[in-house]
Amino acid sequence: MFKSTKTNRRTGENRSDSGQGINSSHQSLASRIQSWRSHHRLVATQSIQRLISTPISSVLTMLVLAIAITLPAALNIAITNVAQLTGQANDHVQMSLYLQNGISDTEGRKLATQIAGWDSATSTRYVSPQEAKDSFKTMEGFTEIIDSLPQNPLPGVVVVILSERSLSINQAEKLRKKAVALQDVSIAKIDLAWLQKLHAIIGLAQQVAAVLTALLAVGVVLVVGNTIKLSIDSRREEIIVTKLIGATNAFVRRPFLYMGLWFGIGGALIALVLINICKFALTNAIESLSLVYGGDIALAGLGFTNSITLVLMGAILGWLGAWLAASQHIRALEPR
Amino acid sequence: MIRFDGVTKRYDSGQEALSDVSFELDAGEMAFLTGHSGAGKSTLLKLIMLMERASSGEVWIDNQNLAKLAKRHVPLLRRKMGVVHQNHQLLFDRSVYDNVALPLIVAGYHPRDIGRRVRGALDKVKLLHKEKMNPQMLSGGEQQRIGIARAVVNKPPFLLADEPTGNLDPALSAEIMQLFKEFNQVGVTVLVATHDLALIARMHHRSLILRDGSLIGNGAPKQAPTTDTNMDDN
Repeated sequence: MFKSTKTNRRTGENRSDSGQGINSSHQSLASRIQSWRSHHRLVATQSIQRLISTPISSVLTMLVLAIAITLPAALNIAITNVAQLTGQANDHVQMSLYLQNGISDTEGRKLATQIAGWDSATSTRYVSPQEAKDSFKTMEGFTEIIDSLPQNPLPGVVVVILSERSLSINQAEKLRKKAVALQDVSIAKIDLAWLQKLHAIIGLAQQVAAVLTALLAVGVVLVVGNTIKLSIDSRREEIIVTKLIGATNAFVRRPFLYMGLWFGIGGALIALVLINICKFALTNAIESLSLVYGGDIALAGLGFTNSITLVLMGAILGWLGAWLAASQHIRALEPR
Repeated sequence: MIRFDGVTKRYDSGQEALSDVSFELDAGEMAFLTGHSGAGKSTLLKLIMLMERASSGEVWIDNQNLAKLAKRHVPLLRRKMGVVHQNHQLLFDRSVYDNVALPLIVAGYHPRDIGRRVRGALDKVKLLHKEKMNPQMLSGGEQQRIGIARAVVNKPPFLLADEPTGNLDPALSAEIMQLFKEFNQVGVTVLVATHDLALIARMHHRSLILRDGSLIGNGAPKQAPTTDTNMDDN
């Protein structure tokens, strides 16, 4: 049986080295690294095959993950869209400077030209008292009132289009004070009230979305962790035998980490599909809304970068869930 | 080298499985571990494999005191020993080939070497033609031989066997023992736990005899007699 001349039927190799008991497991570092990499490849494909072998439960798990990923992602997209709309509305933030009585049109125009030179102003326009009176006259019901007045009560106004698209309260106040400080200006107004309310609401929504995102991320980790725990339980015997043969915890953990990774990526990919289905379903509704407002409201989707980020996040969360479950349960599984 | 120095193993239940056991097995030696069931044979093997740790006393493997072996080094120790279990501990979810390849994959062998070594080990136990089968389809004796192939595939310096012939008929038992003997002849330190006294008597090897956790016999022929010819029934 130990005749060294016997050749292996399959490989045709001479087995003269067979049976050397001691010092036979020396291996170079390069060879170890290569075998480590090949084991990763093997485990990665085997864990995919394992998921495919139980398609229904795998898809169900991924669907749960997908829903948990879709909810905060969709909420964030919605907020981004609203913020974008208000950004468009902010395009022309105006400041109105009501001039002192008795300022002539020439002086008014001069002031307008002067303010147009400010960094914070894009352009300015002088509205004379006469123009203001004319525009009031075009309004229903005002004609008679205006005509009945002995003299034009309206002051000249310099309308300033601000260069900043959005203003903080502090910025707005500073600008307002700067304008009031001008000799000819009696009142300066920037109508920020509705913008501030909207910004506060968007800010709140963003915080709610952040909390929801964190909660559902924990949910993803727990769902993957639980699935991996069940998988570990079902492969108890294999784990114990492998440990008995000299496997490290890292070796035993590896297939489960890959499984978690695939769950996370799969969940995120399904979430991407769900998000795009939602976007498609909403497109018609948005178009009719856009028509009503006469604007060009386009629904922003996830975009390429965000899609990649989403899948990456899914991968990280899946891996994390698997790591938590595997490091806890595999350490406890020792051969007895 | 395997050395026990006043080793006592007491389980949490209070039961003392081994009491003050001392012996030394030289590198390249082959010995039997015998005694009635419950005498402590399995416990002794478990201490060597570090499935259990001694309550007191010291277990030394290759000049390494196991009590001082960090947990993370346990896998490395286990790779030094091939273990043949009574219930062979094969995995039925994969082929014979994959079962035998497992210790090599665990130890990080180069993929190129794995096929060659697995087929070498399977050839040695004469089951090369069944490499693609599931071990469940094999007979008890064949499963035991697959277990042996897996134990020796990475050519460990130690070979431990716990009742390897427990479920086999005498002819198969003799065949398995002959395999162990051949491994021993190429330098492997072999320790076989068995209660098959007839088999031991025929093998003319040293015997460690346990009774109620104490070592009551440690001796007999230290060298196998050269006149041992009637074993070769292959």
